[in-house]
Amino acid sequence: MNYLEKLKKYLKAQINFELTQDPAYIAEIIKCRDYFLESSKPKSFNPFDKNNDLIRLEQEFESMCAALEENGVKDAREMMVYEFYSRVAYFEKKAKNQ
Amino acid sequence: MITKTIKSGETLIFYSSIKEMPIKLYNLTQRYLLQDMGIGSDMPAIDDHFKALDGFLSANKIQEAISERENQRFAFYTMLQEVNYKSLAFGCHVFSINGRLIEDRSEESLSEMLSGLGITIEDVDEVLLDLKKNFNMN
Repeated sequence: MNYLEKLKKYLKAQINFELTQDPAYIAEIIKCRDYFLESSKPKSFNPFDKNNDLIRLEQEFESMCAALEENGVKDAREMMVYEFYSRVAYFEKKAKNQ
Repeated sequence: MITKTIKSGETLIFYSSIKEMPIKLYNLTQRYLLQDMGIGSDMPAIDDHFKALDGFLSANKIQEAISERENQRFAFYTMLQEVNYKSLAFGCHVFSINGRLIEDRSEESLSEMLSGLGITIEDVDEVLLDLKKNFNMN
């Protein structure tokens, strides 16, 4: 179920609850609310958190640069975006076929 | 590259596609956009943090509520420091101003450059939306 369908279901359950006061709708409302809360989990920017999303972004980038350079690419950080991701895709495909 | 002349009369050239923009600059842009999305730097962002905080607390999701409160604190701080992450992301797209190449991309230098340009957040939104169309790998 995609986000929009879930949102429709959530609003429908809220309207039905308001109209009928039937507690059966509350379980549906809570289920949908938990889904939305789960999909909007806050990112971590705490410098002391090992799951800091900024650090993760940097590490993933550095890992990709290191992998390209290990495969003979020079100065991966200086490449253009298109060139960089095309090379990454090429090496991923090559590794998969080996 | 695309050229735009802004209200103050300055001519800006922007990186306008993934074939022109260096990956290290693109990575920096992503960093600022992540901070814009997760922290923000204005009152609407702080209100959003309040809403999310209430949501997590009412669902007894304490760890998420703590992270949200931390991010809200960062948002207050960035707002008081007059740092705007979206504008910094915009600054990463600027190749040159009146023919002068932009080389220093530190937060301080970008902030200085942007305040000197006198651009509005509407200008930033318009340019970023325009550029976004050309920055899709698919």
